[in-house]
Amino acid sequence: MNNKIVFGSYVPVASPLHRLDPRMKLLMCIWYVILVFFANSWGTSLWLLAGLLLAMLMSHVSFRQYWQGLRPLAWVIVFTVAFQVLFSSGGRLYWHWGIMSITHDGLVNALIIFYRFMVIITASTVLTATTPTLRIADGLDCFMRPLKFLRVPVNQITLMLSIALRFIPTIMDEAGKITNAQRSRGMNFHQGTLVQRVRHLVPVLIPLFVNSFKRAEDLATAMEARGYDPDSPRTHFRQLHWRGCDTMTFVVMVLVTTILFLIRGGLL
Amino acid sequence: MVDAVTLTNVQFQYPNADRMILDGVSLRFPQGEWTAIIGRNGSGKSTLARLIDGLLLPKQGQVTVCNLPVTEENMTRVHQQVGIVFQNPDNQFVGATVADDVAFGLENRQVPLAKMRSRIQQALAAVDMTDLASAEPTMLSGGQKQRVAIAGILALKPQVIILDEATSMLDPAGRQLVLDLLQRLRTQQQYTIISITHDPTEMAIADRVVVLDGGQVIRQGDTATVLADVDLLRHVGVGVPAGQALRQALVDRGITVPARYFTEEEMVRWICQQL
Repeated sequence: MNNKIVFGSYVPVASPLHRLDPRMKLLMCIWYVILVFFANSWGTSLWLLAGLLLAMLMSHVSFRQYWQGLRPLAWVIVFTVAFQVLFSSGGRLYWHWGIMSITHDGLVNALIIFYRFMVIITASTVLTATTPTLRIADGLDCFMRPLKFLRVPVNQITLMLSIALRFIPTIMDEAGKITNAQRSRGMNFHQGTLVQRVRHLVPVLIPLFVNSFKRAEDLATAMEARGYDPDSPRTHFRQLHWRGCDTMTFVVMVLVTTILFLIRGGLL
Repeated sequence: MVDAVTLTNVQFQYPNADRMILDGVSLRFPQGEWTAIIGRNGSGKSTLARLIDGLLLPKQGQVTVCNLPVTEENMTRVHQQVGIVFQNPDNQFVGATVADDVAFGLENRQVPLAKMRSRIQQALAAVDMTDLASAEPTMLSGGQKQRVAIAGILALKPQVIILDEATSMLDPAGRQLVLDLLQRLRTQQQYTIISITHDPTEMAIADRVVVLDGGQVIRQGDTATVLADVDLLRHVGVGVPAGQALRQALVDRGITVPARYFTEEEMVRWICQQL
């Protein structure tokens, strides 16, 4: 089986985390990201890291797979950290060359940023690895429902989102076909300067756009034929079920938060 | 016999087009019959299908579906009576999974969840796709997607099913499977089927054939009568069914063959008798 995960793709295994309600997981992920910004010491940071490690273990997705998911972003992280190390000032000066210098505060800042980057990306990977994109969209739909009172067309937005998600593989497939068609006519996508390479993408993008518009039109006709009316209410086939384990996860989340603030307040 | 769909002197012109795509078309589609509509590309076949479902409204003339005039006010009820399977299997798949796609029409009609489940199950069972209920569209073949599209229509319990070149993008096996399915459905329940097609096998299954050319009906009648006219079929540029093609080839070589319609089996039988 091909276990390689791209950043943000779903890993279909059975685990307690996979079975959780997407609303709970979404809430947990967002809340965790907020909490990360409250971590201000070794104690608090390690406490949150421990929480993340527990979630990763419970997801039954191997650490190797998480690492593969992180790897494409490694360069961004390295660059940001290096930038912090070399260009922030304050505290004791260790090394200095032109405008670059390594200082005590710079190192501390870099460490904090490295930590935040790693845990936030990993936490969102835990969410996307254990929840199919469509379920995430369902969860979002639920969170957005109160916006209906502000006349935000929530139903249309979520239908749009789920159709967009459903068409990603179809359009990727088509992009592949068009690329091959152009290559069969002698186009070489891997040669030339950066400008030339970008220019080579034009004959791929134009047919792709034209076809996508045609698809959209066909789809709109098909939807209308099946009785879709954006202004009328609709019932929902896919339902979310809040269960005991979701409530339990919520309690754990409250506990993690309480303990975090206790450590932060010096009470633990 | 009661007519499921009637068109009376229908004219239609696309905006910015210089000619009428349909010009004075009057047709009747009897209930429970399978009618094939054939003709060149641009002869107005697909426009006809869209007019029947109210996706387009005629410039002049009247369309009725199950005695209901197709007008803006009746649109919801018309969509309930008519289901269309379109040509491209990918561009009509709305849901993220098979069951979701079948549910789409039911959701639009505000069918409650409890009823939705059983109707989806029934519809998927009718097209033999129960096992793939939670499959995603990328995992399905073209033929399977078209079967899902048919299930989506069956779940809505319409009177009329229109196939707008629904089998043209499928491989021969997929096409045969879809056609077998529709034949089975027609015998089990009294659906009125209108199929727009270039495919000789699909025409041969129909009870009646309507030939469109230049926006007008140039011939209609029993399948056997219309398909016997090989010159007409060649004129409108559609495929000639195998039995008929063989008959014509024999006639061209100076062999006397009765001037009537032959299916493939009938042709085989006739040749065996001659030997």
